[in-house]
Amino acid sequence: MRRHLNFKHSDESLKKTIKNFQPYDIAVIYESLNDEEKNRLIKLMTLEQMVDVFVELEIDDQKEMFKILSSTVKKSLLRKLETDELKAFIEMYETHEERDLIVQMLSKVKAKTIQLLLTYDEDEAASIMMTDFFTIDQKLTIKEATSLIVTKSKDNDYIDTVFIQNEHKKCIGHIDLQDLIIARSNQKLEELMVKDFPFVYTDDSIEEAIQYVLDYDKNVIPVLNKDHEILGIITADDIFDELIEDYEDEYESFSQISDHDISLSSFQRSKQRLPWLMIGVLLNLLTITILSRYAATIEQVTALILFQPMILGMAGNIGTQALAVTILGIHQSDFKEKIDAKKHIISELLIGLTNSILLGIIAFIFVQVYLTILNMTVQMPIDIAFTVFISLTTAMFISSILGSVVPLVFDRLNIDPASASGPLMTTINDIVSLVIYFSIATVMFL
Amino acid sequence: VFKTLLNEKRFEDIKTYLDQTHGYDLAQDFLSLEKTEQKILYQHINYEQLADLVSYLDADDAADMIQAFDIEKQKEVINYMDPDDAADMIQALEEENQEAIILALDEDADVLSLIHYEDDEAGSLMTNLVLELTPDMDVKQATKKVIKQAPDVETINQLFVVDENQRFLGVVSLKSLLKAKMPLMISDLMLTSPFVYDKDSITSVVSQMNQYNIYVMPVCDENDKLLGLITLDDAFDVFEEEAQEDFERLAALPETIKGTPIKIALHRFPWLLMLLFVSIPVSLLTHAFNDIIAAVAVIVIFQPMISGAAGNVATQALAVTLQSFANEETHLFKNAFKEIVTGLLNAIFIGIAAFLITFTFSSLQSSITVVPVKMSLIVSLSLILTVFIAPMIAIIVPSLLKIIHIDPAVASGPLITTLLDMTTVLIYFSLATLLIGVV
Repeated sequence: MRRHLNFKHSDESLKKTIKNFQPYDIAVIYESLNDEEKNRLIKLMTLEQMVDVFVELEIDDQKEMFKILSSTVKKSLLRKLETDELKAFIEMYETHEERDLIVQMLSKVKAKTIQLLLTYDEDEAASIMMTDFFTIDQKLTIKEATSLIVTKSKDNDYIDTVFIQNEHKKCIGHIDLQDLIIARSNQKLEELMVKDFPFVYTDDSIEEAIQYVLDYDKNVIPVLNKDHEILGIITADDIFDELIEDYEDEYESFSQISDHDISLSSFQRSKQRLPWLMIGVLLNLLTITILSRYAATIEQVTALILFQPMILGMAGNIGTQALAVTILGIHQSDFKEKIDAKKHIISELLIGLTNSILLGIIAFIFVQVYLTILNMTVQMPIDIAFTVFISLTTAMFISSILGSVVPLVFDRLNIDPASASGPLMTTINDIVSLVIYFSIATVMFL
Repeated sequence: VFKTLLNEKRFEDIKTYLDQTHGYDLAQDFLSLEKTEQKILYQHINYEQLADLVSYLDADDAADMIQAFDIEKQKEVINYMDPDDAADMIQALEEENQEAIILALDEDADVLSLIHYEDDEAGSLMTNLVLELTPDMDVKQATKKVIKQAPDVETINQLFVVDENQRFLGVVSLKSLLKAKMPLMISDLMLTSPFVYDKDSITSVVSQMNQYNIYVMPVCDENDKLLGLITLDDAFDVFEEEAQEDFERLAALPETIKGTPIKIALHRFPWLLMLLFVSIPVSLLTHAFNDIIAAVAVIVIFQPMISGAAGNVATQALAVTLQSFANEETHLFKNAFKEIVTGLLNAIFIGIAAFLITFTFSSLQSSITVVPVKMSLIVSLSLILTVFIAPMIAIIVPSLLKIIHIDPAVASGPLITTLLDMTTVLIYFSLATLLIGVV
């Protein structure tokens, strides 16, 4: 649904048009406008609309839009933003002075909330929570609870699910508004509420929050402190953004394009990626040093060179497969228990062994046929074919073991498992494969 | 815990446990049970709990489980399930069982209208338990209807407004309805809402739900008639599945399956076999340089460095290209240009590094070559050229595949690897022939 605005039309007609647009669509249009059109569009939007559009904008556009607003509009905008959005916006300003300027525009209560939110680390669940939730007392009847929600909830409050506290402010359950509406009014809240519910503590990781929302099909989960008081909630739409970011990170780290963004210039891209590439090249010093010891073998049996890329490539390929399966598994917390990790490694080992042997046999046949047709070598084709068979099978098998073990080890050591796909792994693979290949050849032919 | 309850036959505790435990946890418990334990479970679980449990199983596991019941029990469980979950499960049943249950279900069962959707159509994710309001209702009438129908629909947090022909008009949030006072009408409270068509691809539906930050997406037929809705939890499942697929394709890995190691191995085997075959041209090309190899065979020890660096650069450029395809970004040419310039910049830097490495190494080990400067020049020039060409190949190959309607994510990796290996061989051995010559 791509939408367009024609700025030749009158203010009145434009106003009418955007009234039916979704905030996201207006945000997309806004980002493509020139300054004059942007100013005009801002004036045409109602405050509610502006708030909704604002949260959909990219970071830089948010800053820029905020700058051109009058100070009264700024204040109303800040007042209407949900706490998590507000926090994200303030966080974009790097200096304390800039941040303070905005915090000063907030009401006292909100300023305090924001300052609290800003203290959490960016990978902690609490850092993405919002504080616009609604709590009710466990002693209430269904009727009292419903009317309290209807009369007392603020515009921003999330009330599709409300949270239930006991007399010590402990969060002991929650109930969906839908269930409140279905319930008969003489029923007790305590009987109906969900007592066994997933939650996160403030310092739990965002990943944990994501997993709960996905596993339990929740639209919201509460964030509790150690006394089980509710401090905030994390809603599923925010979880969606986190989930997407998570997978993008994994994808990028697997292919060594850290934090890629389409808007980056060539120089920035080069600067980002060069370190990995440099490491890759430098590590080759090892490969070269080791290979040079086999110089005699290589010169004697030049036919070996023909199959070097094949062996390196195949070992790399099967290793990448094992790596990808393992990283995905770690990502979905499949290997939390040691026994599961063990089972996974054994299974990958058998898979690797099967395919290594199968492909080794095929490579044997291929090399034999190939060399017989080309008739180029002084050695017996069958000897070279045999060398390739043993090397390819062993190299592939070892590579598949590395691919399934290394990310698990990385994960235990708190290193990003997806980075195991990097140059270090490639180099180890290369060295292992080549050493096996040329050692066997040395034994066979010299 | 549940396992011991079952084995010790503590029926009261089993009942409370089933009562209080979330469907996801029940499903996890179920998967760890032995056949005999499952039998005990079946005696104590009621249809509603069973339906909840089944909804959290894989479609295949769910189908396996339900096939063990007689048709009456199957029918009862399905009636308690959400229609979209039930449809998935029925599609996973063996064919004869599928037909049997479809015949057994009531003709107007909600699930029947969902079964005929393809896997990748929005309709397959949809539930048709929707609460509909009309614009001419006042607040009181609408509230009454909501209270009456609330137990039978998927959600009432968002209410859907249709006209007298069932055409979708907009949404009303439950919050605004509850807070509204008479004599306001539904038409006063109604907001416009994005919606999708039942034949739309689920991928686009999922990304729209994320863009518009909504928990439920209305689904209409081609005449804008409201058919049902898609909830965010279903969208999550689709998103995760697709994100995994993207990742797997990057690693030339077919879709993950369960089974014995041998079965999985054979499942991945065709890809590896294909990769083995694509390395044949590389051998053939190398063979063409037989003369130079026979003369200075030792130069091959630098070959992995060149093809490795080119491979790394190509992987990066490919990942960026596939990402911009997936996000349907528009500035493809600009992006391609940037990638190529990036490649050139990187090529120069690592080319210099490669020169130093080769020079140091061949100066120290005089057995390698008598002309260290020439050798280093050959290696670094080859590396610069290959690394410069790498991003071009990594952009052109997926673009061409896309034009001829082959999924670029599937086939790009292996093709690019082969082309790069060939480029390396061609450039490196040609330069060597040119500069060192055949002795």
